[in-house]
Amino acid sequence: MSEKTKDAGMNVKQLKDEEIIGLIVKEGKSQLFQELYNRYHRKVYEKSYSFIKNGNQASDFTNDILSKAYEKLPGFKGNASFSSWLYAITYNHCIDYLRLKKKLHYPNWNNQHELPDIVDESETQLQDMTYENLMKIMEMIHPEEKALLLMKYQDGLSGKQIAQALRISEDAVKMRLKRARTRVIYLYNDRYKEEE
Amino acid sequence: METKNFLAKILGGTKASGIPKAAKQTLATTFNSPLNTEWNQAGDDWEAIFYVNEMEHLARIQSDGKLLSLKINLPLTQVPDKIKKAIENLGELMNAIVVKQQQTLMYQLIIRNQKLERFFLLLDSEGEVLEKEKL
Repeated sequence: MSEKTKDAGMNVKQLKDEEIIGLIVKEGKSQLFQELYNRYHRKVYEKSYSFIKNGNQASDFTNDILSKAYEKLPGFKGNASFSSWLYAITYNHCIDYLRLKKKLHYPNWNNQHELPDIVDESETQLQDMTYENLMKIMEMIHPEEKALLLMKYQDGLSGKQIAQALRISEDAVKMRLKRARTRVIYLYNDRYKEEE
Repeated sequence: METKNFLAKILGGTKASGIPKAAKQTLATTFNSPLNTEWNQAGDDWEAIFYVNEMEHLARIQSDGKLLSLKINLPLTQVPDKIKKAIENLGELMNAIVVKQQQTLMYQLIIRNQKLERFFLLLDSEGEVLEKEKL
């Protein structure tokens, strides 16, 4: 046991995620995973729910994802934060499910939803855009584009992590992120700009 | 989540600073009206991602302005028949990027097989597979 945990009387709530992982992996204290579960199960549930829109299924997904994370813990290298690593597993699980069960097919969808126009961002006033409207638009785009935007701009995942989670190349991540942002801006102009 | 930050980031994209003049100049002179350019530092080089003819372009440029490579996100309908034929028995095409580097032309593809396993492929302009990696 490390000096820190001895001194703290194993007060796991005061430990950082990475310290807990160290105790689980190096000292076999698997029961400490409960603390990581408590810290993250709500977030994982919310992320899962935002893709599959079913509460019961999102609960099952949360358990599956956290179980998967536990199994993969020895492979956690600490290059990124535990939360980023866990969220990458979450997005991968949800997108794989949608690809398999819902026959999600980004190239077909992209063809059918071709952008009629690439909006010049320098001529677009986006300051008035509200978070609520942005969230509505996020539901109008393809789940893979939504996942890309959330991973990059909400959770701060690296291009490499995003590529691994979505099983695409890093260059494809860059291209699709660009398209996703362009689509959000186009949809905003199309749906909400006229109302202002 | 920091709501305001998320909103600002998603709308603002990447805002790099310190982009060398020479790199900007190369972009302006090489491409006809690049639209919505975002710059990122990539090691010692710079990457600009932008639109030309409604296709995403990714140019890697040295600080001194030398264009190292250009990658273009190809609509799948524009992938040459030679390339499509080369992979038709390997799986379904999911993504295609054409890479122009010096005088060479290559294709970075993502395909998936019937088991929905996904692979990264690098092909030369004749359709020969140079690299294959499971994603």
